[in-house]
Amino acid sequence: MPGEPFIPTYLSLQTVRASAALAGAGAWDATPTELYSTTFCFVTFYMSYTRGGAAGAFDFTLEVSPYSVDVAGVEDWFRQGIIAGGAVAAAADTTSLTQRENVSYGATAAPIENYVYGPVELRGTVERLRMPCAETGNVGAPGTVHIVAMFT
Amino acid sequence: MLPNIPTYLQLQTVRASAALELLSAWDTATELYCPEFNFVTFYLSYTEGAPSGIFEFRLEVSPYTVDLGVGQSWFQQGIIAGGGVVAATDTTSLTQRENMSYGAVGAAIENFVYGPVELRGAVQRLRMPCRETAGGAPLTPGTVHIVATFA
Repeated sequence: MPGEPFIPTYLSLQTVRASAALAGAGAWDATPTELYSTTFCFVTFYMSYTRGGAAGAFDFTLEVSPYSVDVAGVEDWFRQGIIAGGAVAAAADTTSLTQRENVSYGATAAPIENYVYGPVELRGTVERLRMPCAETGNVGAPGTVHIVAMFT
Repeated sequence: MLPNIPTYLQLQTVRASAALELLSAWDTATELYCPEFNFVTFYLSYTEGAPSGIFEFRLEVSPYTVDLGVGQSWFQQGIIAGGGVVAATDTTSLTQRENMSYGAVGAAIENFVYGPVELRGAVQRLRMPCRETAGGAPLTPGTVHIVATFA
């Protein structure tokens, strides 16, 4: 990376997923691209989806790692969680729920559709991230996904 | 010697991989020092001990570097439900202590992330007790492993 300062305030655009068709039969991307995110505070994903057939939809999930490289013998990748805050009632502890989260996007028409996801907070606590995708709507005619991300 | 500054990424083990206590007892959590850090993100791994396994965790923090001889040293995270705002009327919001629950979806290890949580230099120590919930599999508790990155 000659000449490129790798600091939190530097705007860095990276390709998360090169434009390509999703895998058949609803399979997740087998080898999603890993991006280094050390020292960055936020990431915003710019998503493009072109359905492969009627009723096309796809899922993506954000996975992060606290390690700069895979470490043998430990878990390296962790999926984003979603939290549903429990009801708060006076004089009682609250139990909230958290589970792993996939995010689904369904096409509304045949042309390419672009939308943004984020900014997602990293706050300097994520070493790497990746975003596997899978066709979920029309698994017999998977669509095409392209994702770039801006790190700040 | 690691530089203890806000922008330095520091990885620590919050809970070594081990089975939870029987009968839904909370474990004795490791205390981690976090002065000067702004954020912490927790990386959690849970393997159920039996079908329908569920575990709970909670974040506890302390404004003191060591436990006080007298007084309260540890404080559980709170959740706030904002009350309705009506003109010309005071609002009463609710806050209570919060536990977080995660239920396994399969038998294999499941990894998820919690955070980043804001510390903003206002927390001296933290810990994260865990337990298999009574509604999970309290007689065959699962295994939990937690690491955290501080920045």
